[in-house]
Amino acid sequence: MTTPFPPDDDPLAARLRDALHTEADMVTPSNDGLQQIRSGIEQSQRPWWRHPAAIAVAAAAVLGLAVGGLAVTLGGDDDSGTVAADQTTGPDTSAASTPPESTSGPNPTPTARDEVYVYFVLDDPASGPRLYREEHRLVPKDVPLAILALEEMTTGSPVDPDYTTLWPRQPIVRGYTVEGDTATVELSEFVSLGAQAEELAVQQLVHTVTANDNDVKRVRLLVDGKVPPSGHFDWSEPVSRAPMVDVQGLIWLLTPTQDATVSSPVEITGYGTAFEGTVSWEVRRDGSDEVVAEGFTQAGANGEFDEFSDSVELAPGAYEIRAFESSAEDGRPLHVDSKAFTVE
Amino acid sequence: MSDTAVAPAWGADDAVTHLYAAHYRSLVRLAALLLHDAATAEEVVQDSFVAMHGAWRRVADPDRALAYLRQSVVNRSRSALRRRTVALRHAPRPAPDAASAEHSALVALEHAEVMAALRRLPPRQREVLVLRYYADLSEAEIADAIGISRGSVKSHASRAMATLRADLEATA
Repeated sequence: MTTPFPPDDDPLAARLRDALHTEADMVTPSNDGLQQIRSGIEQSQRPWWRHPAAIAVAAAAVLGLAVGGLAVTLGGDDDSGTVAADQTTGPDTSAASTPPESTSGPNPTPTARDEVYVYFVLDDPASGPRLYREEHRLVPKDVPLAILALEEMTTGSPVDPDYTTLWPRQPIVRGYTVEGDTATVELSEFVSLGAQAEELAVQQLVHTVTANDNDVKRVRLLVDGKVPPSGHFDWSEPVSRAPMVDVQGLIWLLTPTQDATVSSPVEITGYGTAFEGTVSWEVRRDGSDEVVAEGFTQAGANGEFDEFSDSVELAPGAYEIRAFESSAEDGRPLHVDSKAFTVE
Repeated sequence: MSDTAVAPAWGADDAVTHLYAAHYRSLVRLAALLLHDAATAEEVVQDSFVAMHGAWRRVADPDRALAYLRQSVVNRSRSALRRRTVALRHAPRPAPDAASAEHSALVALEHAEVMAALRRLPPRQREVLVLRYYADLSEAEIADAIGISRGSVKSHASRAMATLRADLEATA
């Protein structure tokens, strides 16, 4: 009864399929599509921060960031990915010394990576939609990390397929400037969502910016140069991070990362809060319901967030791990974060 | 298919050429079903190819490239629908096949009813059904294309089918 898609011999499904295919067949694309695409590519070849109009904006960003010690090189004429990989003075490169692991999917070249933090959303059945953080390794560009992260948030995809983004998946970031502790992010489009989701979308963006730019505490949003059009809130003032307990995922499973290949013993780490600080975890063989290992460990208690860690020995194979709080009432898992991974 | 064999060597320009040849038509049709407007559908798909070219260093894989294109088409179609304030500009319908006029008139009416009911659904529900019954995507692929969880795909699908069933029975 609750099967989402009826079997194909369902009369309504058949009717739908038939109507859609007939309707689709009536559409014949014109012959100049490829030509249009190529000229579109040509126009877009210059990234926006190299367009003359954006140089002023970017220059301001450089000024804002130079105070924080991050040197940004502008004006190189080819964007073939040759970047002054001189990020060593940046505020966020401490993590660059950690050994590489497979995170954000296939990447063509084994060159240097900029690590950015990108926030995504998971709809936790027990506490509603909340923010979850992923670390993405991207080919460096000579722009502030916050820009790279915002571009990833709007045009990239979460590594964890359970996560989603509330923003249109389009290149909507048009500008980034920092003055004091306030960043101004210019967008070409705003979200069109209900009040709760809109608030979380803004927090998704604010968290992503502030995670990648240590100088920034507040973010002002502009859409086409104006206050974001919202039917719910007045976004004219800069926005800071909301209290963690209101917006952040209550249990983040940070390692193993989604689709990672790791060796045994597998380090389990995360961040979160739970009743009396107790976070439980379970490992299943991929695609099976049989729990092959389980345990619990200590995170922050009752609204205080803290790191947690544990480790487990596993035979080579594909697994899924879930971290969660066991309901004090009936033991059912709450606030689950899960990752699929492989033990080599 | 044979695409996969040459894939690792693709640069961004090759990717556009190959994916255009293999998928442009079906993506335009997908967008046309979401938008009910063939001209805008082409623009949406062309913009998606341009965006994919720009994101190639991150995509760089033929399977992910098609998934990226689908996501982009679904998103851009939704934005285009939101922007469209004027009355729907219907794509011109070709004349029905003359030889089977009577039969095809009935069929066309039947299809028109289904399409009208589909257009009355909320955007995500409509997207789920079009991706399922036109593009033949799996639940996971639909989740990826729309950017929602598999659980949401299921709930959108079952709500959409229930509404459609009630709607079409009422007009039958």
